[in-house]
Amino acid sequence: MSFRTPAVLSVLALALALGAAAPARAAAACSDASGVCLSDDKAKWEPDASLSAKQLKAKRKGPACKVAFEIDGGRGSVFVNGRYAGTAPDANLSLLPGKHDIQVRDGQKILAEGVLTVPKTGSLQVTVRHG
Amino acid sequence: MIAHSIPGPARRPVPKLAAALLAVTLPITTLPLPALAGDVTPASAAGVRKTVQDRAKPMLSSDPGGAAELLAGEAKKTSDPVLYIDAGEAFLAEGVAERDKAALERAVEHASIGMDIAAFQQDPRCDPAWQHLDAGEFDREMTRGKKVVEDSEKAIADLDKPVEAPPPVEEPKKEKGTPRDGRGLIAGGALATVVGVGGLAMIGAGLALSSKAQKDVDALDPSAIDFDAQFADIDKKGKTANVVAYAGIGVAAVGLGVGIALLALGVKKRKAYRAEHGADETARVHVAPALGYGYGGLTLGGRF
Repeated sequence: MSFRTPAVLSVLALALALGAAAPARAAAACSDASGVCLSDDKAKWEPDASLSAKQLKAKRKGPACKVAFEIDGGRGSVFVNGRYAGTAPDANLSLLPGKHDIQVRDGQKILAEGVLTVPKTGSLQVTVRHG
Repeated sequence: MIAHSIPGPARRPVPKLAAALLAVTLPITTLPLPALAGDVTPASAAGVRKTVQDRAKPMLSSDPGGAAELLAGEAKKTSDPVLYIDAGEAFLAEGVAERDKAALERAVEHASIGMDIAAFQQDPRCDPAWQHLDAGEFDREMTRGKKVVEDSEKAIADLDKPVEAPPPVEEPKKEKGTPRDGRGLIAGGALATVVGVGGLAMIGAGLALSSKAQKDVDALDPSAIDFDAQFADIDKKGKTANVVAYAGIGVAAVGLGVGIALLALGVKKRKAYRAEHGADETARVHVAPALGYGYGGLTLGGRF
């Protein structure tokens, strides 16, 4: 063991302590150009798209899918099919499979809007980038 | 022919039926349409809201926390942006009254949700059958919501500030005895100056006596039988006068020298003291010429 070993070990221990002390990020960073990231490949996000009145009224069938919204770097309220659904980070929704008109906003700032295709089974994590 | 006797309108019933239908239909269409289940109009929302606000209003002053919980619960049920902002205001009142950071954070959260919903209801994506606000109410509610958020964040920032202990009040140091403003030096200097002036008087007196003795000697008659005795007597007085004059020179020199020096030092010290502690008429010395018939000199006065 050379004389540098204690110093290297000290630096490593310090880095480990700092890493353990650093707060974990509330939401995974979303780097998608649309500002929306989905956890399930079967789900689909169409930014800026919207549903027609007929599509909105169409009955959706099947078991509900748990959809959790997270806002990367802030807060926001989620509106589904024209109505208030919840506010992230506590926006855990049950959505029927199919297409849904979604808007996420923080006050007058629209964070994301488009059509979300919810898969038939399982759960879905939607991460929306703030700002 | 009979067939021709039938009146024209009876053969054409459609206009009559249409007129009857129109007459029946018009009043029906002017009646207010009942809202479908789940639909919200500004009027229906205002009715529900008023009931909740009337229940919460009396609690706002006595129990803002209870009022906030009531308003928040109803806001969640109805998704009414006005009730969300009302709840924010109540949580703000509670947070300020109780210095409760959690209540202030809930005030921000509820007012923000209220503003989210109000803003969304101006968006084309909003369901037209889900409207809580008239067009004119939007700006008012957004302004109210922003104020709740700003006031709550300011209150949180104030709570986060470390409480600074009041600085200890420094009691003014009481100076023991007389203040060190040079009054002692001035008093000593004045006394020495008086002694010096006394020395001047001794000089004057000595010179005057000496001069008189010289005149008396000059006036003596050497042929007089008691010449030697008178001469010795006058010589003795003259020598004494000279001693007084010489002593006066010493006393005047020392008295005036020391006195003026002490006065100068005392005045300087007093000026410095006044500059530090403020002017205070504690000591005053004055010297003035004194002239009169047969005498001349200086008068020294002082207040210490």
